[in-house]
Amino acid sequence: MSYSKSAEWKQYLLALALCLAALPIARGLGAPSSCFLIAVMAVSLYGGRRPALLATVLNAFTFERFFLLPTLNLRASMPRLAVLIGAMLLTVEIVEAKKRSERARRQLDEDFRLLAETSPDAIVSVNEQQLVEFANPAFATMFGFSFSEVRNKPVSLVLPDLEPGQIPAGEFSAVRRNGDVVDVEATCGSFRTKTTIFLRDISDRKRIQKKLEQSEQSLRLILDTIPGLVYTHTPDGPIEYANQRLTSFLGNSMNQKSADALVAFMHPEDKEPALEQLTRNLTRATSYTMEYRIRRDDGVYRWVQASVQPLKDLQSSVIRWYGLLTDVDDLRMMEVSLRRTQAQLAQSAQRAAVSELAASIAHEISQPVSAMVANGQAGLRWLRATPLDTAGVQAALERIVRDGKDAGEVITGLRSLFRRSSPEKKPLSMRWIVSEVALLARERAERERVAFDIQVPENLPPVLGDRVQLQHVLLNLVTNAIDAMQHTPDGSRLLTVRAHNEESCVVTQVADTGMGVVDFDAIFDSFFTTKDKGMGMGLSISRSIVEAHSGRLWGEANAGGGTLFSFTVPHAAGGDEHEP
Amino acid sequence: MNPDRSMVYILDDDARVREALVALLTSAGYRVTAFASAPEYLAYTRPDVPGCLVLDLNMPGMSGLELQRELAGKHEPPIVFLTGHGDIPSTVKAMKGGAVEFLAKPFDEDALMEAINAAIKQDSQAREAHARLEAIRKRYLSLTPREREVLPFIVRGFLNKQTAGELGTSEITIRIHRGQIMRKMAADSLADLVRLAAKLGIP
Repeated sequence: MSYSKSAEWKQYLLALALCLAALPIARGLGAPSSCFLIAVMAVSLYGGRRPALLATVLNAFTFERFFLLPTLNLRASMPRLAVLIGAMLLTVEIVEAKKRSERARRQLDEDFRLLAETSPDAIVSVNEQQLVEFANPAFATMFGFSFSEVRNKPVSLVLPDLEPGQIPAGEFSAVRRNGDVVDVEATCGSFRTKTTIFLRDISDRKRIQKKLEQSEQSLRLILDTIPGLVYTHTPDGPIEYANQRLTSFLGNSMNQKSADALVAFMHPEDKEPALEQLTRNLTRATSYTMEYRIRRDDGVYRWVQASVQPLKDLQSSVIRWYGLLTDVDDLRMMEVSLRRTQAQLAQSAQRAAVSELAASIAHEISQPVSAMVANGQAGLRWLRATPLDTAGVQAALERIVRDGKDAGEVITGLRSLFRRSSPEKKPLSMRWIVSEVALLARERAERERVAFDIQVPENLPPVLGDRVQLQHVLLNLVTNAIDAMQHTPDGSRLLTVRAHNEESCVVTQVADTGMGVVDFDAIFDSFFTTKDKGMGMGLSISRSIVEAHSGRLWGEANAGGGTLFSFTVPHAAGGDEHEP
Repeated sequence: MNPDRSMVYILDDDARVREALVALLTSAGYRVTAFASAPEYLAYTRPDVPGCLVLDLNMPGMSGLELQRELAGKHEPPIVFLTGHGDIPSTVKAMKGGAVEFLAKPFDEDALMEAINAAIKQDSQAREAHARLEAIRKRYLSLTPREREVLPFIVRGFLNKQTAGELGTSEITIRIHRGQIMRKMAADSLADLVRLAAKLGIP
């Protein structure tokens, strides 16, 4: 502790004054020791240690000078003097110690006050009845109550949820003076009967937390309501998250979140290719889409389209995969039925056209036939007439002959339309037929930008057939193949004509990369066509030609997409001479 | 039916059918005139005798149905349709348009004759009715304007006195008009006059 010079000087003066004052009082009362002790005590209390020591010396001198007799007989007076000095020094030290401890206590109080006043947390201490004994300024700012207003009031004033006798710890809803609710986090310490409660305002934190929860909830709601099956999985495979739709789609067994959880639900036929594709995509670490069938909870397999996207870290290694499955089963079914309907529609349109054609053919024939009938009847009438009208009869007969020829011509014309004369079979080289047809079709293929690939070995044995008819069959198949690729993108149009030898026949195949065929039975029906213009007779006639050659004509799906038509023509038995 | 007083018109673009029909109907004793197209038929001035039109449904240019529509409402002979292939809609249309018969080629001789006879009979009846109506109309036209004014009152059953009141004239004048009307219209009785007036659409 530091004193200014003047203060120190004043203290010394005080010591001197008290010592001087003590002298007459000691003389008057006749109790010098007590008076001097009191004086030293007073100096020590109000002056400090050094003035007290000065007072001690002064008092000791005064005592020796005025109260001990004879003067300067130290031997006789020494014990009393020593006791007095000792008592005075002891007093000084006691007072000094007392003051020191007082100072320390005050410092502590100051520190606590500072701590309490500067604390951003509200600090309130309560007694065992939970009545407030102390509250810091932060408490006042937090709740709007000053300390004097809450002193000796129950702490439940601001903490209504607090049970009597409960020590507050954890999160509480506190109430402000104006009735607002504020979220607080309470911690407390107890000492004997007192409890100090620290309250921290956590309403901001709460608000943010709530916001986060809401946004998470709304996100979850979005994920659960979008018409898609959403899941995420780790790079190792285990499913981390599946939305409500996916879990209810797959049912309870979805609970297993093993690496191949989804694969377990796939259609047995799709499992292997899907797994293969999946592995490839996962190692490639890029987004991918694929389609497969997956078993719904009711046991029905549905076609789904999976679109999967990876989330990568800065080192572009995948952290998580996000997948969206869309149920495309109805769509697929619709596509199939649409295609079938279209085909049927085309067919019925064809039939309508054919019935129109039939009607006009009927008209062509019925005109001369009606004329013939009417002429015949006229002739009969003239024969019955009297007198007999020979000229009329002759004219009628001439007209009948003329009209009959007309009708005959119509029929001949029709027959040439659907000519199916019996084949004139000779030993033939299939290779030659193919090359002739290729020559005919090459130009059209080039115009339609169709790549034309011919694979016919040279050493094929000769077949027995009608050259023109077999060419007709092959040309029909090649034309169909080119037509089927109308909607195939440029560059993917490939027409392949192959031939190979089998035990008793040569198999010739025509493959396209076109739109494919839905119903391989229907295409051989008469009047079946998928073309805008066409009678739908081609395949039907071709099949009857091949069958007239004791061969077979059939269609199947081409391995590379599109359609593959094959027909067989039997070997020319033993005949190795063939044309040309 | 007296075929001599009737005509059958044949309209078919196919010469073979046309010739055969002419031959058949001629041999059956009909008087026949044949045409190759609708305009040709329309340009022809028909004799004033009962007739029948044998019409081909399918013709280039104006079709049978179109011609039927064109002729509808006029005093034209009834139509018997012939067709190479008759579909139901055109049959319905033809019959609704008042065709007597609709025959598919090759047609039956008897059915054709029957249809033609029915058509001619229908036409002659129509012609007779028409002629009768024309006669009545001629008589009506011979009435003076005042008599035409009086006629509706008479046929409505008004007494002469009432009619006079309505027309603002004397009962005697009306009685004179009434006598003239009965005479000019050649009506034997009031009932007869009412019948004649009804045919003319009076009142």
